[in-house]
Amino acid sequence: MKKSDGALGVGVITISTVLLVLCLSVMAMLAFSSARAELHLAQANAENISAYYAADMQAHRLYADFAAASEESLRAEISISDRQSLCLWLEREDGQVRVRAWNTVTREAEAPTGPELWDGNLSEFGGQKP
Amino acid sequence: MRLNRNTLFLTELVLNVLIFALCAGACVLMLVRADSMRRQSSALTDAVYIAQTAAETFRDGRSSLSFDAAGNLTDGGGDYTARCSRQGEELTVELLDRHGERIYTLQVWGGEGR
Repeated sequence: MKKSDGALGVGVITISTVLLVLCLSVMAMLAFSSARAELHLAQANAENISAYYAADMQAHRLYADFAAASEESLRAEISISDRQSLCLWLEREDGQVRVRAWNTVTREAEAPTGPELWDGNLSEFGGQKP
Repeated sequence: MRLNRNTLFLTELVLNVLIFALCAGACVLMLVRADSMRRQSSALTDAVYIAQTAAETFRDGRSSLSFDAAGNLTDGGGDYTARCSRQGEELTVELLDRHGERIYTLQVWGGEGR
């Protein structure tokens, strides 16, 4: 009867180790990237809130200046971020300052510029539109 | 031949243990760093929320939060301390952790409302 060489042959442990290390690495990288994204989100949120309150403070200053002056109307757009701004519209009625607008507005993203597409009109080629 | 096979197996085992230890160490470092970032982001999110609430409360004089004479949040009782100070028309809210380190600062309008 032939004697067995052992339960584990040469190379089995290496393959197991490689698989184990691969799984560990993937798990660690996923955890790290997730935590980093979470931190970036928290920082962006904090910056956004600081920027909003800075714009709000500027709007309050404009309001105070407007209340002290004698102008009839004031419109201002105070930038909060690249895509957001605080819209301010004040009017004076019977000596009282009336707030028409005091809200954040989001600017629309610019339309993507790509290749000019054919609109289906054949007239520019001398034909007729089907 | 038998000795060579055993030696080969032992060498492979030792090398694998070494490689595994190295990779596991790197992964543990990465996980520790991820945990630290997660704690940091959690603290920042909480601090922003508390600072915003404290600023609005302090500014409008509502009574859901109470402050002592120095402007410290007295009923926080948790991991953070909110410190409010007014300079002219600017109201500054500082959020400190339990070690006294500043996490977040928020400046809001503290003058008369519109």
